[in-house]
Amino acid sequence: MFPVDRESFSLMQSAKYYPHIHIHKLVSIASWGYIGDKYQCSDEYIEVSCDLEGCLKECSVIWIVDSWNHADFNNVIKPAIQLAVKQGKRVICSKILDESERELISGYSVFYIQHTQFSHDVSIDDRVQEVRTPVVYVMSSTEYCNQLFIETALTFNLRNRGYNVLFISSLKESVAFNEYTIPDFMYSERCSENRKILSLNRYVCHLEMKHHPDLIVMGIPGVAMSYDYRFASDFGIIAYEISEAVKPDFAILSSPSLSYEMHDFNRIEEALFGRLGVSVNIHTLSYNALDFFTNEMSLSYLTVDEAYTNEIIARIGYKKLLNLNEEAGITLASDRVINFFSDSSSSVLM
Amino acid sequence: MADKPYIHTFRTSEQCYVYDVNTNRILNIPDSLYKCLLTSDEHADEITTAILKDMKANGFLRSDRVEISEHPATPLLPYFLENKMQQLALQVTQRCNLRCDYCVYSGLYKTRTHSNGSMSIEVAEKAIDYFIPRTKDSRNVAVSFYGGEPLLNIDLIKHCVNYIDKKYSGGKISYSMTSNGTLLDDITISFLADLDFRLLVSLDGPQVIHDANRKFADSDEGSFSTIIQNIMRIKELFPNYYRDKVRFNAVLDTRGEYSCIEEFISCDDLFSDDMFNVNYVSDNFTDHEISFNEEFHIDREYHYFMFFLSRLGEISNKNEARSLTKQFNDVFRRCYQNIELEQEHIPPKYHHSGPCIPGVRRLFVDIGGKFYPCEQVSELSETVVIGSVETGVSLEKVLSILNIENSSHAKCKDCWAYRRCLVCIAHSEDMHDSTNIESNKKCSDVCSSIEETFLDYCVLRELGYTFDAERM
Repeated sequence: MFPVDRESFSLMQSAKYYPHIHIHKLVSIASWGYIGDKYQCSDEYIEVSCDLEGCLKECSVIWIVDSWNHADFNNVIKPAIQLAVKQGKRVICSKILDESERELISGYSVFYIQHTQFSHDVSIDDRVQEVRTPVVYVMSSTEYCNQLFIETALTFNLRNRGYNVLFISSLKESVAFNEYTIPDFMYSERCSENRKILSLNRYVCHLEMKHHPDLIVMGIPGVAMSYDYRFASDFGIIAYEISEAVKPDFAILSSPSLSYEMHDFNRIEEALFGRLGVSVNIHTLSYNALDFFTNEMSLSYLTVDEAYTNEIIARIGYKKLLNLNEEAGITLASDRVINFFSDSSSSVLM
Repeated sequence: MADKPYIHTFRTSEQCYVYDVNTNRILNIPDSLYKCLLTSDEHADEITTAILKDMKANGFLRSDRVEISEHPATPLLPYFLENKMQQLALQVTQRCNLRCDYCVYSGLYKTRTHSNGSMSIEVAEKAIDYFIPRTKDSRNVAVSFYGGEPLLNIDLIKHCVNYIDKKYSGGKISYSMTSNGTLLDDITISFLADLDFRLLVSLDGPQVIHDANRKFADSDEGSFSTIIQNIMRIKELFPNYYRDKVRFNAVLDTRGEYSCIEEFISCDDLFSDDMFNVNYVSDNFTDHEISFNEEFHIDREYHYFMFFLSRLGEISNKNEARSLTKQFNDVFRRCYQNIELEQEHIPPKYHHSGPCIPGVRRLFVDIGGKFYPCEQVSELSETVVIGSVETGVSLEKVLSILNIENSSHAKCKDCWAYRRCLVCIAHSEDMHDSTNIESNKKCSDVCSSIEETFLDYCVLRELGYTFDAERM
């Protein structure tokens, strides 16, 4: 996987659930500060290297991933692809490249990971159809809330308990894991908002009919809503559209680690209910804090750890607040999902 | 004091204002309310009472003050130090080829003096190896070179750049340097331009002003001609680099004339808008009295007044004082943009603004490998040493410097400038314990400066000026 930084952590952690994907080497850019650090992928801890050429020799595929740091196309990405091709390796790319960049590597065989594609003709008279299967949303308040890991881990925990779970991931990278994702038209500028909502509804209904799941876990891309008037991210627009297409029955919200008080969670829940009609059943905090100190002009992040996050969780003592960055927390969340739907009179989950 | 609204009242010639500390807002208020707040008069008329009531209902005029002094970054400090360092500043040498009269290393200040010491390759590499793995969460990372005059140790600078390029390639790191500008030959200029160094050159104004203070050590001659020749050469060889990356720092001699400095900056084709940063001779940790010519002050105020008229469109902007552009933008950016999270009231546990996070925003390394929060602290004070290349950064020391209010909380918590304060460890007078800022003479200066900013901001708003990020 290259070039790794904080953008790929959730992906690395999620990969362990897919035996057919074995991440063997992690390569980063030397100046990014990750060289020598170890991260868990599959069942092992892998040390981050800057020796791309050496690492490629021991792998069959290079996965070019998106990064938080800027990876210059001409100086970093293209040479990496050229090196991989020269060594006879397969190249898969989930990094967003523009048309001109793709053109520059059009001579190489690169498999681009894209959102699941789905097309369905919807007319102006169409209406949203009911999705009968219970739906669990996994959402985030900001970026870097480890959402992909939470959606994936929850899905697998439920699957391991014997449930047929339809997983619709928030990120296109899940296509590499043979999972469905939020479809590509949701990001299209050519598709009207009405059409997006109706088409998404049809997409989920189609998958529901095809797979007859016991439960649907839907990862919601972007943010649930803008953090505040200065840090709006995507304003929660996709989340809103999804909520109009598929109503959730249960929702998990991941937020950055901050010095919250109890009333902060109440406020978030009220705001989300008003905006999306979503009741948050579980909150979790990521191992990222918001940094308001070093850059006054924009939202930035600070990596924290389990100890910091668990201290906040313990201090607040809110029963909805769990640590879903670890398997133990995921198991608890799974229990709550099952109990919730087992208790619900309209549930089909047995 | 505990029940008194936590506010500060002030007025322009036309209107009255209150700065509400809890909400961090400036509010325009009627004269009657202004008088009422000023005198804490409880017997106001009906209208004033109604306005007061309305303001209180909207969350203003609260009396909440900070009860426990703790900087909000404190719980996150270990993570900042582990992941978010931003700038490494290497004191590559303490040698200098100039002997400027006002230099902080001239012996007039309670810090080190000039010496022949230089940083070793080993110390530089250790500092770089310590710093870069701790920058993961920083998108913009810089390595800066200081002195003395850093170009006297250009070989070490080149070594550092090569070392970083070899061991930490990838283009995330940018370089900068503060230089007296006298040693910029063609080879050095090419080296700096190739690497896109941000170069800050010290230039105090026209020759007569500059040469009065900034002289060569070996000849007592002024350095102006040499510097101008060098910067003209940069502009000739690398015009884009000169335009984008070269900036100037002028230390204003308050014994002289302000006009001639401004004329020099404005009229010379070498300098465009926003190229000049102006400062005054430092009065930190010195008993030496800084002379202040009243005419200088009047002249400067006149230029500031003309600057405002220009911004208001009352006069042509070609008359606008370039020396004031950056200052105007910086000061009013601070005033205009609410840099803190919206808060209904000041938290019970908080800290006055001013201190940056030591070692994070900047990690200054002296020639011996000691770590400091920045290059502006006194290098004679052990309390400002936050670690070394051998031991790393001391969390305890950083905590102490970050929470500098601990020694002065009783005084600070009632100060209306709490949220806007600029005082930090670099202003400490106590050489035995630099974290003791209780007797800081800076406080009244800071309050005056902030109130002046508020006044200027409000006057401009009264006259219809629109503050927006683009214009600034």
